[in-house]
Amino acid sequence: MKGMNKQIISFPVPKTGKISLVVAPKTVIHSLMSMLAVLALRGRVIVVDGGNCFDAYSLARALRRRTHQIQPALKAVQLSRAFTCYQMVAMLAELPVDGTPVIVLDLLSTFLDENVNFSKRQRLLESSLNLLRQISEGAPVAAWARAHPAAEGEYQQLLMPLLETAHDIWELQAPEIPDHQLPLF
Amino acid sequence: MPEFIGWLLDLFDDPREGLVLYFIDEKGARHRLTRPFPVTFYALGSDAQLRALWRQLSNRPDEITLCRTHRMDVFKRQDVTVLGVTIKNPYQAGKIFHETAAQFPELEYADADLNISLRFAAETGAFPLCRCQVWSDEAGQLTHIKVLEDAWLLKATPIPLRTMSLAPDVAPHHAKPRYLIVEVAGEKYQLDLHTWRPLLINLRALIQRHDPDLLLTDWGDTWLLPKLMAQSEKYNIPLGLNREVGRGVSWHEERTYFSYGQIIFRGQQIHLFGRCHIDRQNAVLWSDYELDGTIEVSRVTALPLQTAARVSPGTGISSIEMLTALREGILVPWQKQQAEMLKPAADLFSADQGGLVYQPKIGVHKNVAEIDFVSLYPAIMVYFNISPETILPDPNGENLVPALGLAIDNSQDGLIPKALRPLLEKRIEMKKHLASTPNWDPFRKNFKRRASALKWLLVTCFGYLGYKNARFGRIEAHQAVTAYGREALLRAKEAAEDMGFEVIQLYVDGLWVHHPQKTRPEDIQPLLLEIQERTGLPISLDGIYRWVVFVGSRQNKKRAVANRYFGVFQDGSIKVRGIDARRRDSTPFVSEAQMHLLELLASKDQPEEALPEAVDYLRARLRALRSGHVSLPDLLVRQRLGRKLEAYHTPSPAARAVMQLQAAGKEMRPGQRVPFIYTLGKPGVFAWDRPQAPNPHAVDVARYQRLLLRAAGIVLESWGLDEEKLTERVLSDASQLRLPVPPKQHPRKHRSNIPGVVHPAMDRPFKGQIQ
Repeated sequence: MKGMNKQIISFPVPKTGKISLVVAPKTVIHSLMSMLAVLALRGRVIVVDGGNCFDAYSLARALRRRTHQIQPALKAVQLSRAFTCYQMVAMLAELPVDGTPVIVLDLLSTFLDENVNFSKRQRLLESSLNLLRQISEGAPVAAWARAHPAAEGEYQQLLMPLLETAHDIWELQAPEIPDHQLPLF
Repeated sequence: MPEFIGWLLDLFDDPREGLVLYFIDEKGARHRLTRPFPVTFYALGSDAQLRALWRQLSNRPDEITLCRTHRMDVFKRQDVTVLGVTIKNPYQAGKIFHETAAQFPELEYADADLNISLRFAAETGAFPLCRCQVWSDEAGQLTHIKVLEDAWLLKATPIPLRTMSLAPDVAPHHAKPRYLIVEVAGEKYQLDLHTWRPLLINLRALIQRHDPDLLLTDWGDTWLLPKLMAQSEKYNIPLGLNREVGRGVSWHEERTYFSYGQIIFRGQQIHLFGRCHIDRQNAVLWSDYELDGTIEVSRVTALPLQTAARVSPGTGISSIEMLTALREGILVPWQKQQAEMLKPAADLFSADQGGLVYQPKIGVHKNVAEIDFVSLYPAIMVYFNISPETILPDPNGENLVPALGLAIDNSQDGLIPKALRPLLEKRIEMKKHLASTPNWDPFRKNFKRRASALKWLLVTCFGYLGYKNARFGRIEAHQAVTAYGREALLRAKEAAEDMGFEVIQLYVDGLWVHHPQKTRPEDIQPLLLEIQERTGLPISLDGIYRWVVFVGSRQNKKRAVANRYFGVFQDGSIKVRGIDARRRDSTPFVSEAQMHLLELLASKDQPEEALPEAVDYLRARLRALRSGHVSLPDLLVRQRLGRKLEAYHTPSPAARAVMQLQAAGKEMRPGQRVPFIYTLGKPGVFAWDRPQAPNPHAVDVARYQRLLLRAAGIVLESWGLDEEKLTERVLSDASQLRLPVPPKQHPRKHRSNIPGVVHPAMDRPFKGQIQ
């Protein structure tokens, strides 16, 4: 899907037994909040935020387009933020396995932390993916991996196992920006 | 049994002797003692996992002893079963731990990577630079140590440190140094850097003769010591930089990191053994608190002096917390696993907020009292018992945090309040002591520097509570602190309004209030008592302004900016925040002029009386600028390189200056400050550290004029002279050479409008300049 811009994309809601993956730049957050709004109106949803990027205002706007009663839906969204890859694994391990849909935002961000040895990060990512597989057996799971414009070695090596784990993948690209400012007149 | 009283100078692990300690004897001698010092780390996991680890490690009985025990896990709020791994020689501990962690990655670990000085302080109470009584045996082994002055003492006995200062005659990144200046025991020596053999022989002789405890260098980490060591090896003349024979120096890599939204660069470090080395150019906050403050940091954090000089206040706070945990038998996690509690998205609106800010009323205000909570956030953490283990997700519990669904468990003191309480109390005592110490007191400077060091530690402790890598950080505790802070400030505002004060501004931990009849410090005391009563937090009067000005933002003058103001207290002292005189990236030419204008305003009963003098002063400064009488260093701008060069789409002036340095073979890293001068033509800057000398005629006079008049306008606009009027008035003097008003055209075209000022040659590149 090329040429993505700030418009809202309607992702299908994730289904139990599958891991849906979106690989896209950060502008996709509005679309993800829109998908989250749909899920929140149906019941409880768990959001695991790996990049401190949960956009509560965007979610509130998405809810307001669908209902006047946004407070119950905002309460249905249960959020927890991970700031390190260790926290990400610990958080996924502690999630209740009760059929509640799980959305993981910016999954790879904490694994790009250069303060942690790369092989250790790979091992922790593998643990996280195993946990996501287990959760997806009883609940819908969707994850977003932030696309990097100049994807380098480590990022690619971390993205690969994630792509292999996911069942449905949406890969979105930011519109190409010309190298030079176009003349205005 | 030999016994002496002295100070613990340095301690480190040793492959043969376990722990080596160097002491300064109060009678002048220096002692080297040793001590066996086994260290323990803990592994946490399932019984099966711990059994596997036991089997693996139990085949190394000469090096390791193992035990199954219980320790307190602060995050689980209970004792947990752990496998204790005790390593006989601390020198081996790092290697054995990392091997273990690699082999058993699924286990959690605690007490694993702690500085040996923290372990020693936890076990014996003795910390670096403490005054102590020491007993040893004939073999030079430490048998007993007793601390005579603890780290929280207000006035400690001065340490008779022998200091040697080493510095090149010029900054090596600016030009090639010619001499090494050595200062020791009141003597100054100049050693020629072109003749290495005599330099090395003389330096070695000086080190041997004076046997300094502390080498205080400039660029010692990044240039001088590496250079000296390379030459020492080349000429085979050992310098004896270490006191400890047979040990090389310890190298620590350079690094770049983010702190409070800024990118920070720290150069490589060189640590010595048995003698301390501090590079003044690479030490943290040296310009703020110098050696006195660094010694204070070392004492209260229990980090060795050379480490304390180079770590951020955050690491200092972390050390204090870890030391408290070790003393209390609480596990210090190697990698914190605990994440944020699951909370409804709706709660994020109320929880994820910072300090309370009440936008000020723009303009001049007279007789305004500034009242500040004393170390507000640390005080909240201590007095409200905020710590990772005391925060409970219980919206119906006792001791509820304002506006959050959290409660505080006050059944026991939390780890963080325990760690911070002595630090906070010492800071408050020091503040009181400083207030009663006259300016002529010889110890005043020492106190000020030590107070500053404590202030930085306390300022950081709140941020560290929310920092992802903090061992005892927890986001809910961080949110609770700001929630209490907002509540305290609101209560203070209500108290002030109830007592008839007008609130001019609120800013996180302080408020500015005005009452037409209450203009003396004693008039404010009842308000302070009332606020203290309503909030339970210490508060003090910072001072009463004769006048204070809150200025608007640069983009929109009508929009108030919370932390941008200047004012004059009743005692004549000036306080400035957020304007050029305070900013580190403004040029001395501009910031000194702005400060001078403030002093002019402060010198008059009615500030507007100073306006004619201010205009004359600005004219004189512009005359000096145009005639080349402002020295080039006074025109230097020092901006930080915010990212790698290749990451810039449109290079900032600092990035352009770095490009020039790169072309000259000089490397700069993100986080480093780049000094440069604004020049005419492209690229518009001249990097100060280029090998070529700058051309004084190429200075972009018009740009500096704009900067000066803009800074002056900020100060004078409240008395009717904003930048535009000031430009008109300053430049209207017929005897002056007219300079154009700020350009609304391309700089090149603008430059051609300056008659007689710019020589056409300035369009040409400098001699030898790479374009």
